[in-house]
Amino acid sequence: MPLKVINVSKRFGSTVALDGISFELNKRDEFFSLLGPSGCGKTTALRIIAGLLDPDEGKVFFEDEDLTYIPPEKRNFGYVFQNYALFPHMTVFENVAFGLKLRKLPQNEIRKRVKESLEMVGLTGLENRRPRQLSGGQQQRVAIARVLAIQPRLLLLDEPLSNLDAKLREKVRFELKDLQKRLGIPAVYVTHDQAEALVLSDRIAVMQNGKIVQIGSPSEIYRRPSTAYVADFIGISNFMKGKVVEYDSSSREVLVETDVGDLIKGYATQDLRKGEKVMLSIRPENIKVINSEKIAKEHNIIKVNVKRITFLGDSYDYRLDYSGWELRMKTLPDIILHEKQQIFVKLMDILVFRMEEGEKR
Amino acid sequence: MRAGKHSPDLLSIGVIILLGIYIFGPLYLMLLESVAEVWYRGRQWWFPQQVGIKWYEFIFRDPDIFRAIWLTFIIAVTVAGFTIALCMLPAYTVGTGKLKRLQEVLESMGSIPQTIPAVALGVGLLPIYHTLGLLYSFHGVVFAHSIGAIPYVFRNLVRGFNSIDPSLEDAARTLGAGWLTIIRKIYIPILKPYLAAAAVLAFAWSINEFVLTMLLGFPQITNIAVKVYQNAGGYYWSPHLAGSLSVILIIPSMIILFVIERMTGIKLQTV
Repeated sequence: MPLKVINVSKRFGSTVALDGISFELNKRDEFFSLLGPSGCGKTTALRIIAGLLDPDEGKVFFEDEDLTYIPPEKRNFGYVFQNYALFPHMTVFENVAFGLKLRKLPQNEIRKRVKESLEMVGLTGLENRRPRQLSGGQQQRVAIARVLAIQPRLLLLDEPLSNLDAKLREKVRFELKDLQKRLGIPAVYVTHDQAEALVLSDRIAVMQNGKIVQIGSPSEIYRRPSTAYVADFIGISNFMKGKVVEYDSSSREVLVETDVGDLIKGYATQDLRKGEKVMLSIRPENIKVINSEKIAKEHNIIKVNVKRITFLGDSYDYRLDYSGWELRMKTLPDIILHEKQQIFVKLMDILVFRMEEGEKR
Repeated sequence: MRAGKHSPDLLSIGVIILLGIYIFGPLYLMLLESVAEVWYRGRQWWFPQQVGIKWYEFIFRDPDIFRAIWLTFIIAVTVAGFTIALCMLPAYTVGTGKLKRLQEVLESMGSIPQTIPAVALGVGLLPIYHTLGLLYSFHGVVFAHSIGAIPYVFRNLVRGFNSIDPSLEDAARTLGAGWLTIIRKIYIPILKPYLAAAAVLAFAWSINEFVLTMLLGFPQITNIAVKVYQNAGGYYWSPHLAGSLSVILIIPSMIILFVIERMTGIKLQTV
């Protein structure tokens, strides 16, 4: 087991940054993401893994060695910072060589490794530049080269792409994953960007208020979010309220009556009781326009008003009004609808969550 | 700005010229005194009849004055080094925001010496120095000067630490650096301009320090400022000697200031 984080907690004064999180990396080259909004504790978790922070409780193991109180300089983990943290008074070469000089490697070995690392990130020829003479993308590559040079046992990445522009970010995402797989170094990646997490990760841990709420592969997290929070955070989800009419605990199929009185069949994420108030969640791509009015009496078909239409290039984004609930629908550009038009839509792949206490939606 | 468009400009230029005379006039006269070999002021007050370097030769031939010059610079260099060493850790704590609770206390403590008149400080130090046997000693004078230099050094170092991205330390640690390496390879090189500014200000403070040197060092430890006072009416009346000593006092600080500003590109701030 490369990395094992057991029941780690951390407080800052009266705020609980981490509330007993546990996870482990399953394989040698796993790309694992901690995903959550700012303030959810994901960076704190990464800093504890790196040794830059001590946990109040819990343990961190790497290859069955207890690292909890080993200082960061003795861990040989590569940490890429959000702002890159390049040493401004050193050249690119000196930055990348920094960790190697500390390891007292011979000069020619240092030169060789710096060259290799810069090649890996596609940055040869800029060795004598200073960080401030580089673009954001180049600085980010130097930061990655600097940690690759020390041949780390584990890569820790704290939102390394967040300061790049959208197009570059997309490109670097794939490069980063290729590089990590090729080198076979396990990685823990921290991000608030769900699209980034979906593309890069083998598995994702979704965090909320210092806790991990779900761990799973990108498709599990997307298709079977365990709570409404996860459904809302990953991709776009539409929500509407209802009441349980029928529930089959073996198949987890549930029939829900919406506030308007439509009957909708969905999949329950946890056991439900008849009459219980629930939240329905539907992805925009799972709403389909129905042409015939005759089948309007079937389950999962509702009448909505088209509120707003936005052309997105490869698709249309529709804002639909369902008695006060706004639903977003994504369709290919081959369907033409008009604003204020009344249409029937079929809802598919609906997830039903128990209404959390205090939930206002 | 509507009415009398030109008058405010003329007025401000006039004021600036007056200010220039106000600041540089005495310096000009001091400079003249130092090179005047023959000067009948009643006949020609604006320039001496004969100029030369007689007084400078005199200064460097007098072992007593020469010793004062030498001491002035040695004390100043020591004060700069000692004060920087003294302020490093608290400045790090405040500048990097490591100890939030201590921050305000240290910040105001760093400014206190500036608000205390040197005479009061000297009077307070006298009995302490007497007990500790520091009176009339080199390091006694260094310690006393250092107190006054603290605000300048502390603020510049805090500003320096403030300018350093805290993640640099984290990055260095994860790459394998211990704290000694971090200080040597990360902090000191980045702090260089701020260290230079702190050193220059401490140096300038020390060479100009008169009251404490007089109270605690004199007569064993004297500096140029004390000698100037002696020659400018305190003991004898010798304006030429006082003038040339003043020039010796001013020139090094001006050169250092200029060089440092050129070297580091930062404007020295004394506040």
